[in-house]
Amino acid sequence: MNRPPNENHETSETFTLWEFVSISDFERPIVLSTDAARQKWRLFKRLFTRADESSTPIKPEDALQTLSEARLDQLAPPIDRHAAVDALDRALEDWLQTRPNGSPVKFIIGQAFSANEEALARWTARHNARLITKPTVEQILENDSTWPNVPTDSQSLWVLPNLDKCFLRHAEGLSLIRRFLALALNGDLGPGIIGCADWSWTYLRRVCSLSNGNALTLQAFDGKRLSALFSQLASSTQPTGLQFLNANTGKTVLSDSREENLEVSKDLNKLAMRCRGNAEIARLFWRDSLRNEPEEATLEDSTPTTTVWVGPFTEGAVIPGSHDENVALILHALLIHNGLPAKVLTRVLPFSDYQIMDLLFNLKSLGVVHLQYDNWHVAPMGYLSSRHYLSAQNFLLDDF
Amino acid sequence: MDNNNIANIFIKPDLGTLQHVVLVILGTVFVIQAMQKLFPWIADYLHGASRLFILAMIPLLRLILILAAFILIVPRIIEPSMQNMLALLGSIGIVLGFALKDYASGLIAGIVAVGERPYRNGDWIEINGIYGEVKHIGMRAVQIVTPDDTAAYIPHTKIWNEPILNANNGTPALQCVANFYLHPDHDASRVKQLLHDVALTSPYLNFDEPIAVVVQDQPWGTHYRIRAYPIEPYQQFRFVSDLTIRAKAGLTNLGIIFALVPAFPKNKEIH
Repeated sequence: MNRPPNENHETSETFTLWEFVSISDFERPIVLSTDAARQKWRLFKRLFTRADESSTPIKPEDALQTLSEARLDQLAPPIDRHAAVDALDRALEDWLQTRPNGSPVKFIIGQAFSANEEALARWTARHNARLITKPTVEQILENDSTWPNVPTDSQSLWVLPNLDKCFLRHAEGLSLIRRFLALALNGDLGPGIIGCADWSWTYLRRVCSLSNGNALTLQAFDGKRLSALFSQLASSTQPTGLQFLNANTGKTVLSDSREENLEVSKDLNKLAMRCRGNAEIARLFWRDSLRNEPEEATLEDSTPTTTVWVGPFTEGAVIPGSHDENVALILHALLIHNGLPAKVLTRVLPFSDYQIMDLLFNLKSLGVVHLQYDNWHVAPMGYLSSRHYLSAQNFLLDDF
Repeated sequence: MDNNNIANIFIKPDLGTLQHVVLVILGTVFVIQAMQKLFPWIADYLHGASRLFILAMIPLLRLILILAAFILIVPRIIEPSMQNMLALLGSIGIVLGFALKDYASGLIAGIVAVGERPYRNGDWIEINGIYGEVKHIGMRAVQIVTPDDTAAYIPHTKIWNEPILNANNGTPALQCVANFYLHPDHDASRVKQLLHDVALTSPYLNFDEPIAVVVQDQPWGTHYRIRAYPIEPYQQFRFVSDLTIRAKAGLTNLGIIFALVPAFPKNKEIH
């Protein structure tokens, strides 16, 4: 394994922060039934009591202010995916050495916003493997026989980081991926790694009869992992002297003291459960909840211990109503294809382009979707409500 | 039984009894009305089996409430002895048997319909060629709303001697069929695969249920049927439209010719 030594960002924790596991071993943080009942009771009581009758918060919302983007980038910067690449190396080590004929392909299933494609691209560069580029929409629809342009009976390692971009939910959009998967699973292309987004994987499993047997995914981030991750993120830009306190109770949510972090705060456990173990979504909700006192704004870098207050976690983007079937169809199409350009959406949805654009702009104004390089995606802060919306309408959901 | 005997059955009414009876009747009517508004409102926020369950509870609970009200009222207005009960029920039976025979039959069929459940609220049924979604199961008739948004009131007595076709039978799984009539000269296996893929790629498809493409040769060509299930029963028409539109586009792309039946004038118009 030719891993550069300076890329090892894994901390020497007693547990592994980044870990790829088989899908059957994926453990989503769950809500204990007693906690759930207590929470429902609290919500029920809130219907009959005024907000100011509940316990007085240590730091009321109006006594705190939101942080600047620059400060948030210090406290909760984007996640460095090098450690995930290291974890992928560890997970694939045995398979790479033995390369069993029975399983010539490994699937790496990326949860939403897990930067799976980016991690696989880095892994490919690290191992000098052949990177297969995704086909164009025209190639998909025409079942272009020149794609994937990999010599058959080759024994060199190849990587396709985005299987989710190799099909369209269209009557003519499945032939290409079926042909490719038949070649790959038969071992005709040699050993290979295939990355796929989780929603696409759920769909393709039913369409192409794929099994979870050779699929790996990142283990869910429970409270403990989130605690370690957020500490790592904060300490990567600000060495010491940070404590994160709950603005309501004053209790420590996170600190740079290792002893205090041994016991994971309830807030982080709740955040992990709510975000379904998704690190990136949890980071964004975490970022969104951070506050400080106005006078601290000028002192924030000068005091030995800086207190950052953690306000209540927001609901994220909310989709009003629960019945708009067209909204559900458009969200489902975006999730299944891991984002699509508007002109391609017309091929996979049963309504016209102007209706699609109306819906997209409406959802964009709510913060549920966003446009990124011509591709419409479900936004991270709109993901949980989108998933809930689709679940309520019995749509096919991802496994995570 | 002479008039005096019948009069003896009844307890001498007083204001308290009257108030009690009126209160029970009003209370029952109020609770039934509230339930008939509230349950569909709750069901509108639900999907699938839970929606159908909530809707199916309405007629059963209404029957229980009416029986409870009857049990509460009867001892207040008659002496609750076996003799009196037989006399009263006998008199009611004679009245219903002669004067209101059909209405009584409808009421009894309504009770049987609640018990046997040949249809429940939210089911898609066909009776006497009328197809629609069951919106309300009344005491005497079932109200269904057709795809043309026309309400049809069908008496429960139909269950005695008419077949009741229930497309989803209390579950969210409702099979839809999209028909295609093609010229016989084509590659049938290719068409079958295309039609299967058309179903697999429909945004309305329920993946928990199977897809089947049935092929049948006819004198005029080949008849194809896609049998598949939408996510929710109310999506059935949009689902079939989606299958039809996309399958026609796919078949046209394959160069398949659709079967055409020549239109002949009627015999009397032939000269």
